[in-house]
Amino acid sequence: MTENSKGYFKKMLDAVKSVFTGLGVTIGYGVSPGREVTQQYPEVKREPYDRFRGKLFVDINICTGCTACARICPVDAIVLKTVRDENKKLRPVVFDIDNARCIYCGLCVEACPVDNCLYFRKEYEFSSYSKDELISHFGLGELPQPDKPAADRPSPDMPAQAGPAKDQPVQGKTDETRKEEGK
Amino acid sequence: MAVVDERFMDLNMGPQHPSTHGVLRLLIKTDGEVVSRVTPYIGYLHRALEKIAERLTYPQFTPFTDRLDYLASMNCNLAYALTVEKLLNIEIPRRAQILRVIMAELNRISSHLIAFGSLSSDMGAFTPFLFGIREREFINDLFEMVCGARLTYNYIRIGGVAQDIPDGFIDKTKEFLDYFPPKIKEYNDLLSYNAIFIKRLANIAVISPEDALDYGVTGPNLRASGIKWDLRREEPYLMYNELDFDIPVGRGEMGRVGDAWDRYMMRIYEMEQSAKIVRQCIDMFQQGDHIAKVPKVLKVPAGEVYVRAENPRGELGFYLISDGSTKPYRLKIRAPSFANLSIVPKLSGGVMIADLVAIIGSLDIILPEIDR
Repeated sequence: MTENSKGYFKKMLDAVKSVFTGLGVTIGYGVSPGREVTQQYPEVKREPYDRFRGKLFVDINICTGCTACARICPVDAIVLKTVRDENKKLRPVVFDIDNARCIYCGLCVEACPVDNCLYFRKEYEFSSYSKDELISHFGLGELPQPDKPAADRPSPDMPAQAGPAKDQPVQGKTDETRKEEGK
Repeated sequence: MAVVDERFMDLNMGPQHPSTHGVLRLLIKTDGEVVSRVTPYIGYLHRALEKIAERLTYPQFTPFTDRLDYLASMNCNLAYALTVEKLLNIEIPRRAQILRVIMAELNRISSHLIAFGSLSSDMGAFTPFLFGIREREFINDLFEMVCGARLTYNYIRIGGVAQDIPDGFIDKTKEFLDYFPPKIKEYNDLLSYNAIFIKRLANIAVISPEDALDYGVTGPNLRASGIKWDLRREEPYLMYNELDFDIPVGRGEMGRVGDAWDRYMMRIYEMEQSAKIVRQCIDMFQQGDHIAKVPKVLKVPAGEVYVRAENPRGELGFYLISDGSTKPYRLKIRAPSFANLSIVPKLSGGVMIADLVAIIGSLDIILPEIDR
């Protein structure tokens, strides 16, 4: 009986002791917090490091239309359509990046053969109310057609689908419809 | 009509429950406060990752391994890279190996910090959780510096690592290594040797060495049962055979060997060891390439291979069958948490509901890896 009660009080004393050891740690921080670990987020914004993988951006004017980024993307977040322009160069008519699909893995940036063409910005606040707003459009749009096809386009020629220049108007059309859907 | 046994009540713990560590549902047969049977129901996070692997090229699958055990993405990246490299049979540059070990061990610390913190918050102490998060933030900063992400790193690639380290990384890591070990004493004062905490965990859910082997329990949970088995020592990969570190083993300091407190304490000891490893790696640093020459279109020779690596939660294995094309024919993932969870029904016969929380917390399971 006495042995039992002795053990009981000893355990109690141990518990109280260890509680005060723990309190010693926390009281220390109460007196001097040391390294600052929290931030007043919306007011104070932390600058991410240089390699931060934020929102993807494309410098479309130097894009060669090689589609390396679209092919490496594991989640098909990049839609890239190209046509040959008058200088036989590839022109990215559609370059859409779906930020909702993007997993920010960075494989596309590494695959891009042109310096500073496809890159991450430090931007990380781009939440939105609709998924459409999360798609960034970088495409140059259809080719500026000098004479005939440009005149063709505005006129509501429905049977133009079976027109002579097959690939170019179709590409332009998909681009246009995509943009409309996007808005 | 089914006969209902009125003595027992079926109770669902989860899938949305603060102490189930993710979306795990435990169907508990309770007799008052005592649990008589537990059946885990998994699959809420199933994303068919193994099937996705068959549709993607080898480099494309690397970011998906981030999403296995998201608290230890580096280690998952590493295990996958090692698997593909074994079939490719390529030599990894020395610098890349050192960088890989540093990242893997830093990630082990950050993962164990969450294990420590979440177990403490399961036990009703919230302060240690914040302490764990505070130190983890430091590691997250280091990772952000080196690869640009704070959770899904995608840094360790087939052949090496994605980028060489930036300026200032070594200094900041040294700063962390000076800052971190004293904090472990703080954790011990605050939580580990707290009498109430010990009372909650000691002699709870004892895993005997035989049971641990039978159920395929690995990692700290296995070592807590007194079996000295660490793949970094038993099957050294990278440069672990050159490093000097101890493998902590459960000794039953507060109760019996393999109880919940031993499992908890394994993680504290391992954090110390990981910090020691990182320090050695920094001393070993040398110039060189950060990635081996890997062809852009990666065709892996036909064959099959099983490679395992020591993750914070146990043995992560990848079983890969290649048919010589650019995509895996089959990729089977052996997730440590899956095996660790399988022992829960065995452990939880006749325990109190509050102890069940301690069991789940001390096993430190993570769900995306189980469901994958």
